[in-house]
Amino acid sequence: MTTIHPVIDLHAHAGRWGSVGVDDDPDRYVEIMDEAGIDRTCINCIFYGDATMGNDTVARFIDRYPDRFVGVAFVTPHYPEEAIPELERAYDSLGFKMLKVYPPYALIPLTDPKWAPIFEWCDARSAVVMSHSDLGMPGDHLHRPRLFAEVARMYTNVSWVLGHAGNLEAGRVEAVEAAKHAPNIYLETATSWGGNGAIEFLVEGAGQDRVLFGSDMPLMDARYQIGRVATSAISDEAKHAVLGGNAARLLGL
Amino acid sequence: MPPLMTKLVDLDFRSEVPVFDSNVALGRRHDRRVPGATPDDLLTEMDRFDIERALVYCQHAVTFDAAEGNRMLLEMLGGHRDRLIPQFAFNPAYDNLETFVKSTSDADVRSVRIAPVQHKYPLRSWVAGEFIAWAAGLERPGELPQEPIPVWVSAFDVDPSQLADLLETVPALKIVLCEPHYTQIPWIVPLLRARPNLYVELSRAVIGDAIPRLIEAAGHSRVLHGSWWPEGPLAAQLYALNRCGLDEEQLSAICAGNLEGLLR
Repeated sequence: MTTIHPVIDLHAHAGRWGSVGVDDDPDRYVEIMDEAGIDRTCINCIFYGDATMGNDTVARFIDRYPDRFVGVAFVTPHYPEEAIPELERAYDSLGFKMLKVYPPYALIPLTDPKWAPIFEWCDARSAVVMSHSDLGMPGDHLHRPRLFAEVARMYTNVSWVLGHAGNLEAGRVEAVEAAKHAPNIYLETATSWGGNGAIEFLVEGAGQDRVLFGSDMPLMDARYQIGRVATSAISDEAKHAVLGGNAARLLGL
Repeated sequence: MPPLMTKLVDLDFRSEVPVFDSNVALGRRHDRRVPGATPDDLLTEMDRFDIERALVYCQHAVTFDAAEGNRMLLEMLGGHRDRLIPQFAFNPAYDNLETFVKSTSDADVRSVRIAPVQHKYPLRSWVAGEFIAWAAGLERPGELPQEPIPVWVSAFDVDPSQLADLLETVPALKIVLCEPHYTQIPWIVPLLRARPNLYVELSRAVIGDAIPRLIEAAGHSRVLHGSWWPEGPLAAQLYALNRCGLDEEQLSAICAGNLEGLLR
């Protein structure tokens, strides 16, 4: 059996979400990671208007499994007076390694000036910032891939990660175009929309060093998302990069 | 029998049990280029993972016209019917049932797909009653012999309340619910628990722990592997199935045995 190490999941969530039947038991989480073959999972919590509550939820996962979870901070532009102190707490006290922002929950476009203080802080820290992206679904004006090209040119020290890499086919095409225009853009793989051929398209279009595995656990099952990469028609070298090598390099893990 | 799962990512994945994919579409789409459309495209991909057979319908039969799509399907399949098993579509609001029944008999078709939302009718007896009675094996149009025939429908293509009412009022009807998305899991799980004549196909069941949850709700004998190819990758969910700690009996049933049983 040809296998790969390390495997790093860049996109996962902590927090209960009963309206779609999602639990957040860290023990079960780690069991699924074991079954899927994932070494470490980068986990965020974006469900609360109070970002501190979300980041503390993430911290509890890390406290329980410090070798398996990597903290991902969350802040909201609706409370700018709290955002920078919370970022400093998340990075400097809790040891988190990247930031997740979520325009579809904030209902503020990624290019809106309300994000500027947060992104300026990230630029000064050369941080990795992930945001949801898609094109072809309601609300896509908030986070369509071409907006990432704009912020990537404004904040050149930030490594921008397009969660779901545009998600639908039209979004993937725009995501690859954005990656070609900005060297600090990366594309993350999770989707629940089939995406047959998507891994191949992203690697071919953006290059194997710019594509990052993510599961979107527990909204999506890591075993399926791993299967999309493992059974794709890309080289083993590219699979190594996508499944963990790129994330390890980007986050210094 | 010990679990089949391992704990390392496997780049050489092949199924360890026979696989009969229950959800594959053939043919081009009108609105975009699909990753694969022909039997050769499909068989090439099936061979990559040692997948033996697939139950196939024509995309055009769901998108535009069932009768024309069914004819296109048989033309496409040609000599590949040893591995690609045809599934016809039917539109009870438009198609002639007697003609359709004869076509299924002539072509030895053992399952039917309906698409109430795309074909723009409510799944109620005043639209689909004769078809439902036929599919449940309760009535015979014309003089044709009749056995019950299972019905496939996408979770995106049916109203949940209409589906639940139908399953309750016609318990002899067997329905396979396809492509269950995470947004639909909250009603699918209780419906599976409530109605023993409902089966579920797994292609889009990708929410965390979806496979164990659906097996817990329905029992492994009412769960069918499917890929949703060419929209979905052919082997990703198959890969996940092999990582769920199922024993060989459960895995064999889900990957092929349950579908074989429905098509007998």
